[in-house]
Amino acid sequence: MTGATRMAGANDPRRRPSRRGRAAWLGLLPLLLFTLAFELLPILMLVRSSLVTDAGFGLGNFGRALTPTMLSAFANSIKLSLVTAAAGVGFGGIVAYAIVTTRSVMVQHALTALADVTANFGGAPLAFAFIITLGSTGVVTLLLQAIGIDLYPGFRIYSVAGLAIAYVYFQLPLLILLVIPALLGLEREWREAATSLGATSTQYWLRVALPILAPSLLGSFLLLFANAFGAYATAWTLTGPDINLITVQIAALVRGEVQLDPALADALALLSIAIMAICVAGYHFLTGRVRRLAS
Amino acid sequence: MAHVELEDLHKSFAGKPAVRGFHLGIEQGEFVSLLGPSGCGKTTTLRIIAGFETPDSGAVRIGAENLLDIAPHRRGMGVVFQNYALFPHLTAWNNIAFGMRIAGRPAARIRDRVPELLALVGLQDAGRKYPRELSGGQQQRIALARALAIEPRMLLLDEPLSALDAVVRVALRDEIRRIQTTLGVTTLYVTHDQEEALAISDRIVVMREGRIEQIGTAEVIYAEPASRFVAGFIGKMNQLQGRVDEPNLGRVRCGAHSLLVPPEALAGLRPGAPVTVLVRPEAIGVGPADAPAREGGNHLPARIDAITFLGAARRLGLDAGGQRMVADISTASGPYRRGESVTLAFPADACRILAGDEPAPA
Repeated sequence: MTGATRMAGANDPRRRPSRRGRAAWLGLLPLLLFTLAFELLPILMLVRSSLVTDAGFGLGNFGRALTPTMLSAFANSIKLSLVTAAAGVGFGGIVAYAIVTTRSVMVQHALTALADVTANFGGAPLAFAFIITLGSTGVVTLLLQAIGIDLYPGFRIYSVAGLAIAYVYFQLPLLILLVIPALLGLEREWREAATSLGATSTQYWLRVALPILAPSLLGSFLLLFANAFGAYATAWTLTGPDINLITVQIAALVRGEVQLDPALADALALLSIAIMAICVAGYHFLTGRVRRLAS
Repeated sequence: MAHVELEDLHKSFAGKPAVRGFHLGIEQGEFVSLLGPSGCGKTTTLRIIAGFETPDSGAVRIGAENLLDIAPHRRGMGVVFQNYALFPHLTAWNNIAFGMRIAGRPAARIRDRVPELLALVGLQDAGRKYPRELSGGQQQRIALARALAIEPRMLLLDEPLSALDAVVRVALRDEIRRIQTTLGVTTLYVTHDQEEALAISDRIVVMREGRIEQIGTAEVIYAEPASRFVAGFIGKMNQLQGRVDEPNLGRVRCGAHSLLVPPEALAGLRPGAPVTVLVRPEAIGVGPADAPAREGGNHLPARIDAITFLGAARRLGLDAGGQRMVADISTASGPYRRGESVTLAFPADACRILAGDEPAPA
């Protein structure tokens, strides 16, 4: 490097953060502190705790996590998440399309607001809502009984099927919120171009719209999967320990209902985090693809 | 009978008429432009032909067939959109091949045809590129190739150059015309750019508020506007309000000036009838204030109050005894200064007459 370029580099205003730039970083400080205190440090403690065994540091806790009961809990959680994510994408996609294509702006805004509320309505209140509507003495159950339709004993809200229905309640609106921007990005002219080139409506959907939406739908599916996989309060309130899910197992180990084993709980939690991290990374990769397509 | 017949098309949106009583015949291989300001119904007309809109009444015929009875995807219309509308997940090659694949053309035929079309639009090496990797002009060329790939019965172009910069617009405009002439495909071209329409079309249809104002070749539309709207919309036009003075001698009084116009242009008009005298700026000669008047022409004293450089010409803004006028002169002539007194000269046969005194739109 010559002296001249060194001088230029030293004086280059792009190399020195401006006062405004430093102030911007200061503005981010609360967020950084929050992330450190409530996200990074807990994860680091989780990692540390999951690696601590009676014999010192090691992978023993992860080995203990691979018992038939725990593997079954993982399998149940994955199955429930896959089913409810698929139902969310299937039905939610149709509802989202209906919302974006409705001519009434008022209906559009009302349904989007409803989706916003219901997507965030989960946990114990949602479970109670389902108990008082579809429980054995729920309002809907009794109303149906009055007109000669007996839901019970063929159906139980306290079963895996009932739990799946409760999960779909928040999965479907979440999908709507995630996919509406992608649907709005479908240009009217793409459909018209396909039509002018001889494509039927089905051919347009199969050859144009769905391939364009695929990354967004798949990414949303992964996010819904992670959302269901990590759900605990709804499952616990609705079914208690009856359904063997990984989140229920982790809670039981932390609370010491059968045995107190926080280290094993941490190992299970870390494995769950890994699964969800893969889903979230997949979501970001796929939405990045959507943005590149749209650019 | 014309190759394509548009018969008495009407279309309203929410009670507001967009197209009213539209009649047009287009010959095989003809290049017709629909020209008009925003909201005049030109795009709606094109969309009716394509099948994207259904008219309230009327017919669109090709031969004995009424296209309105045929589903849009079976009409065989090649459409080029303003925003290109290329499928973003497909390469240029696959965009062009799309229609042929839908039609079930053999793979070998598609393999032969796509390179031909890429060559036709001058993008032989762009087949593997995605739309996002192409410039606006290149995307529009691919969109044109895609529309031509289905060997359309008619090519419909909806403001295809509006999103492009001026240089690309002119180049692609000429390219579109070259390709259209080569293939002989009947073409309907929608634009609000009068220069574009004048340069590219066999015939121009000037539209206003859903109706046709005038149909004609570029020369006719420019030289003989049939209405004040056309006169004001196509190019720059001086509009002098006046009254018929001596119709047999071709004399019209415009304020303090007595203008000579072709006597036949005043046929049927009585003395005192209100008229608008139309004169193109380039038909007006500008000379010194003391220039001698020539027999049989018009000579108006005027004062220059604006000078605009247009490149090949200078446009002078003039006050001719209270009449606002403009004259385009060669950049070589002059020099002229603002405030300078000059004489405007133009022959009688440079004047067009429109009866009535409604001013033409600016």
